[in-house]
Amino acid sequence: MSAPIARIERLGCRFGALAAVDGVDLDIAAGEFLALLGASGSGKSTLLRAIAGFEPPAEGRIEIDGRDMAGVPPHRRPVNMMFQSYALFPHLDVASNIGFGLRQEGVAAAEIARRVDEAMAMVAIGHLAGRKPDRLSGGERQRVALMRALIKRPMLLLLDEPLSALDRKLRAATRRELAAIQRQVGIAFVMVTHDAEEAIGLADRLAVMDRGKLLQIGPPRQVYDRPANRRVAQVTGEVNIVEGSDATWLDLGAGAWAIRPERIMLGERAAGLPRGGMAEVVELRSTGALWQVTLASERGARLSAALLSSQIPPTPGTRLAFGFAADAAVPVPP
Amino acid sequence: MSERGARAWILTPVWLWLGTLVALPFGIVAKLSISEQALARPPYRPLLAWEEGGAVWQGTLGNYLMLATDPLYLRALASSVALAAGSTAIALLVGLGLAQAAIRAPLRWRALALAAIVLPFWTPSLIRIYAWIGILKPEGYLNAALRALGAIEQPLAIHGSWAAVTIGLVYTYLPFAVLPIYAALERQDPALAEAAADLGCPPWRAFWIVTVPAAWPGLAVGGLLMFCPAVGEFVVPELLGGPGTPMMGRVVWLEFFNNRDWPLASAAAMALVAILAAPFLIHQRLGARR
Repeated sequence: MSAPIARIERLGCRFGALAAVDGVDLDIAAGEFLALLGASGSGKSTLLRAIAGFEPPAEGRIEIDGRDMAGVPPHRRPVNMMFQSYALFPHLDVASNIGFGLRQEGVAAAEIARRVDEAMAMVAIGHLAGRKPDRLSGGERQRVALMRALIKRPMLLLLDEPLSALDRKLRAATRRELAAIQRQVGIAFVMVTHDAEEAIGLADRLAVMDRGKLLQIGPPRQVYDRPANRRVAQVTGEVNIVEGSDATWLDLGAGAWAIRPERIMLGERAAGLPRGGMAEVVELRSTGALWQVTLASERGARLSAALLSSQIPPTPGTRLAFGFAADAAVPVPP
Repeated sequence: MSERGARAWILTPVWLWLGTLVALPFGIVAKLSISEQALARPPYRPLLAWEEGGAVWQGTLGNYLMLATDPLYLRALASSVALAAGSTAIALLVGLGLAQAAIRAPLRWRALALAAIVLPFWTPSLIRIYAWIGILKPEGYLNAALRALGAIEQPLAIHGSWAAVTIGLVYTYLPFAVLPIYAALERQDPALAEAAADLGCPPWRAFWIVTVPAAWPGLAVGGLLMFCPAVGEFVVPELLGGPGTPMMGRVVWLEFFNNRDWPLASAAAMALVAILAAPFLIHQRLGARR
């Protein structure tokens, strides 16, 4: 990792007795796309707001570009934020919304107009320049909010659930666009999300938060495949947590183990795999792209497996062989 | 009953209300305003008189001509609009401050803050305005306090001045201005002000260039709700004003009761309605454009 553009050290934020952010250490590299993943109430949004200057830290420090941010108000920080509600100014048209940040800096009008045009062209909304926000679609608003936050070319762009207000189909397209824009501008993005798929699909590095603490940080696949503990395994996707007598059933050692459903092979595909056994298919569901199969041992232990819907699904009520590779089971302390 | 029939039935009370309590009185006042004054009972001549050879039209635009040409009435009209506009502007500013303070207050104080704004309305306005006389008159509390502090030697002649009428109007109609502003600010996404700050705007500036313009609908409604009754106000200029602060409400009263000139009073009332319609039309035009 190149020299960090932002350093967060032992950061703590409190709401009364509640530690919303608790002893977080985090370095953010120049130009990286970092995703903060966590359930609601995990402290990820509070951490983002603390970086922007909206939540005063109770302890620890935030350093951006080598400068301690203690006591620096939001309007003097070299970061910009894209808000979950977008927070577009209802009385200003698209061009004025996007140019707002530059006007605060006293940039010359001609220069503002040029950069606003450039920004609008980047996301193909030039034809909307004169529209007020209430005459825009959700996707258009999202683009205006993104460009308004990017136009000052901040050291760091903070994105609070940038895709959550969009419908599913638009979200996939916008996700690709967001990734492309990030690569193009080369600004470090810190995105807060509760959607594991989104975080893994977009980020260079994934940080998982729970109850104010940063549980694990690393490349998304590494965090997904080798979760450091049970909570990380659960937050990053579907997972079987196997422990106690169920673990013995699967020839796993003592303690708790995490196994992703897609790592469990069924029928012939299970042949030759080091771990596994026989189980009954008790339930079969389709999500469209996947079959979700629920297996049960004779003693009632449950395991869910996932296979692509192009494969032939097992019949509920039958017994079949299942298996998984040795590295599919990851020990997860509670 | 058909759906259309049901809808018409539901709207009947509305039409009855508008017809008997708005259109009918308005028509009567309009008719009076083009009648001629007479020493009679009622004190005006009918619009149509029956003479030999048929009906004779006795209507006249003389009352309006009188209003338009007599400087006394023009001054009353101008000062009504000026006083109402000035005090509305002051009330909107004060209202913005009060509403913002109420919203910033912890949740349990908010209801109390709003109640404190509305509370004075529980006493009759006449009594409240009388209380202001006690404060503003030459030997009143304000002058006594200022003299005790050594700030002035001669009492200030506030009572009877523009300032007194403005104070009275702001005080009387403040809740009308505050409540819509409060509603607009409370509904506003708090992220708006944060977004302004995030983009480099200091807080006080963010308030004026984002929070206030984004609350424009509330400000417009608050302003209208205050401006309209303030233009036609009678009690405040009667009790707190003087010869230097003529207002149309007083003109209507004087013409009606002192001079028994019902037609002129009606014409003055119609002129007032015309003035009041203007801000509504402007507001609607702006609303349609947005």
